Amino acid sequence: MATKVVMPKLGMAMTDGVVVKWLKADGDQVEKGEHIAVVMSKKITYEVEAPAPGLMRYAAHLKEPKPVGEAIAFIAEPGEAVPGLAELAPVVAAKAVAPQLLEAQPPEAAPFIPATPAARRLAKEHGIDISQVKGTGPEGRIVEEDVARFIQERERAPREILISPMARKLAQEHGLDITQITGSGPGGRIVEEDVRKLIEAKKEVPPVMAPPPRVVPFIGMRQAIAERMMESLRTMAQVTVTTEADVTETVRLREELKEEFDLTYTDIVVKTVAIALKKHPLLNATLVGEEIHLLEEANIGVAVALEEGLIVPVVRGADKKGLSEIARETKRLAQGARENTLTVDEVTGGTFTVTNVGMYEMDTFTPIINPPEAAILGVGRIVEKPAVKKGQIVVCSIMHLSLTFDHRIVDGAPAADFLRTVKHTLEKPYRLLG
Amino acid sequence: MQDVIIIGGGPGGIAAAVRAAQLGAAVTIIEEAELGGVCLNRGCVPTKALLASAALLARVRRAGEYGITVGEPSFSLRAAMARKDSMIAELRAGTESLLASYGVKVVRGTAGLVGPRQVEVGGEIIEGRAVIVATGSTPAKPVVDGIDSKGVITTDEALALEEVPARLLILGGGPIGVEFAAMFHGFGSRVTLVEPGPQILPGEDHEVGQRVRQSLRDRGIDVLIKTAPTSIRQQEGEELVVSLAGRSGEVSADKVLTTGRAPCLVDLGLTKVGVRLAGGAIVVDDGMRTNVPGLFAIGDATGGQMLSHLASVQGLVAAENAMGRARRMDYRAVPRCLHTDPEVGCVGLTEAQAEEQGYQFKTSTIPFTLSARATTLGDLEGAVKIVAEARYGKILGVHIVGPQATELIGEAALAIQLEATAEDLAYAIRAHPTLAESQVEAARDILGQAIFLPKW
Repeated sequence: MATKVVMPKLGMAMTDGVVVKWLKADGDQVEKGEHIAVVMSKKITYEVEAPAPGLMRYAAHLKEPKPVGEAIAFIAEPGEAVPGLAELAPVVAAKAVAPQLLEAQPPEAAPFIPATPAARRLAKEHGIDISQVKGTGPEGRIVEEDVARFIQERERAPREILISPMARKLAQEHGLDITQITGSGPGGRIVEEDVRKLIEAKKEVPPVMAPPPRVVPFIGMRQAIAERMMESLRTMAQVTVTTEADVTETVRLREELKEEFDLTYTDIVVKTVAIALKKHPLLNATLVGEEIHLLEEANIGVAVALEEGLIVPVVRGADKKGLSEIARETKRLAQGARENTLTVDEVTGGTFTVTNVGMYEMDTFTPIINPPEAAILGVGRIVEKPAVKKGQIVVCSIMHLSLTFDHRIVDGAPAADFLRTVKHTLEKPYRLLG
Repeated sequence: MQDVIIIGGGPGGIAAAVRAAQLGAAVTIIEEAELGGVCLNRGCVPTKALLASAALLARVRRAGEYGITVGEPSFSLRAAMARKDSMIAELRAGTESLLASYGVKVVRGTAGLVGPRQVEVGGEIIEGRAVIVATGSTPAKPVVDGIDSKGVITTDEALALEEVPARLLILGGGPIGVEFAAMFHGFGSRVTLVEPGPQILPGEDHEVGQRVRQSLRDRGIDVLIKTAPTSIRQQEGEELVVSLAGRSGEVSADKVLTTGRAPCLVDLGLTKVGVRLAGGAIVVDDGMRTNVPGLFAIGDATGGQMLSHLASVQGLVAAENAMGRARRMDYRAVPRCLHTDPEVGCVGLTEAQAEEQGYQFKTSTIPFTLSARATTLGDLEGAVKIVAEARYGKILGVHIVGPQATELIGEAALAIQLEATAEDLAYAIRAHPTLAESQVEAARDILGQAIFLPKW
């Protein structure tokens, strides 16, 4: 009896996921505990291990959404016949972009095309769309021979290139491959002018052998971030306001508290923001259809930069937590993010995000809102600057703050009011200790 | 609101109208005189009808060569004119029903632009998304003392003459002058052809000019080059006396025919809408657009070669561009023809132009005396000349003087349009005996492979 490898449940909210990468080929012998596939939920990626040794057969297409608990592969015992993916009917069409698909639209069913596994393998090897092949087997089933014939015919068919005699001679003499020339004449016919232009173009640019680019796969987290950022900018009316806060006192507070526990400015900002959100609920909101939902909890996401991207673990109920508790939690979450051990619940449910680029010596920027949140606060570096206070020139520590808000939900004045509350709190931070 | 308004119902305007209608446009064409323009009414068609009479008359006189005995033929200009007129009427009716079949609205009257896309005709203003100016050209007399004398006529009047002038002096040795010279010589006039330039058919290949001049002279036409009239005097009895620059003595004639033409742009409102002109013609780009958006111009109104078939193709290009397509004119393969005897057909570059444009080139000339078909026809005059680029053998120009040259040149026009090389023509098979063989032979000669030219 073959062992089922199922789509794992990676968090409470997870209903389905996709295989983003196979680590073993279809038909490979796998050992128990060996990593066989990378699956992805909305938030995180996870490497699936083989539950048993044996011959692995795929049961899911790459990026095909699979409900949690459903088979993504089978591990067959020696001698056991397991249907491959090709025989699974109806075949579910794999969609190009996974995260979108996870938004619950039912997958589209492609017509089932009867074909033998050998025929499918041959078609796949030659990059042939099997639906283009005419089947001669029983009930029109496509057999290997059909695909072989298709390949032969494709190769025999002369690729017709319309080209004027003059253009052909000219291209020949200049050693140009006419299949690479775009014709501008009637019906795409290559004419003398096309070849001359190409010759001129080659003359103008001395042939520089550009080194091939290093390729980074655009999959998994990278793709998920791309989708979310584009979705954010596509769907929201984002406005960024910036201000400076005199954080001289905050710096002093942190220096003092650091004696007791490891405290970062981000932790202080998380706490500050959580309190300010209670006063300005429109910034702790989300738009649902025709309603703006003002959220009860202040769950503050903290952006953590990773080598392969960015993840935003969430400090839940930050308004109710003390600074030391927040500090402990952000540390634990950041480590989890780097070790890829966060659960889905630790990276979902945020209501507001804080992103700190101060350590990179940046001041202001325009952060992009993490949907479906209503706002995001960007924290810049702290620099010492001269300031005039009570007629005296004094040295102050200045922090730059950049607030991006969704103008659909909240207008400029209340958003600025929120940022001012944050600023004032950071300027007199001792109330945070209360 | 019309999609396309066309001012002028000549060959260019008609082609534009049909093409625009094919593309789904609501089209109005405005014509102040007769549909068909100069081409059908006062140009190509009537001259070719009359030249056919002249050619047949000449052929009948040569009937004996073919073993046919006929008496001395008599010719009636009136009858030839009547034949011509009935042909024009027939073709004009055909044009009308053609436009009607495409739902093209024909408005009679004189049009004037009141805006870039607004045309006034008969006190009414028609608006269109695009306007195509296809007003053609009109005879233009040179500035010469006495040019307004009664016996000085234009081609319009020459095509309505009731009697053959005993002595006809033609001013201008271009294609129009040469055709009229051949025509009236055929009808019995004593013809003098005056060309100010160094060769008749200026702009054509020098060999063509020489051959045609020789052929005209052989027939008894006086061809005077490098001279122009300085004055025209009307004598008593309507005789005209013409003084020619640099020549002693004067030439007497019963009629003096002027052959110049100028674009027909008067009172069209072009300056009002800011259309750029140069040398009395409308300036257009290779999509037939003027500098005013939505306003196109085609044919003789844009100056240039003033050929009916060129105007037609320009009309197609203008119509397509007016309907949002992007088509460009290709001027490389525009045939230039004379329906004289022998005929003349030329396309592409002359030897002089090839040299001017910096080509390394070869030429070959195959006379029709080598052609079995020309021999059987009894038409041995003329030759096929090819100008080909030296390195690749690309056909640059073909110049034919001889029997059916106007038809033969079509093959050469296609060769140039398709960028054929000398091999493409040389390796072609043509039926024997035909005149087309000579063109293949000329291409072979470019490659040094002519088979009917004796070895030196």
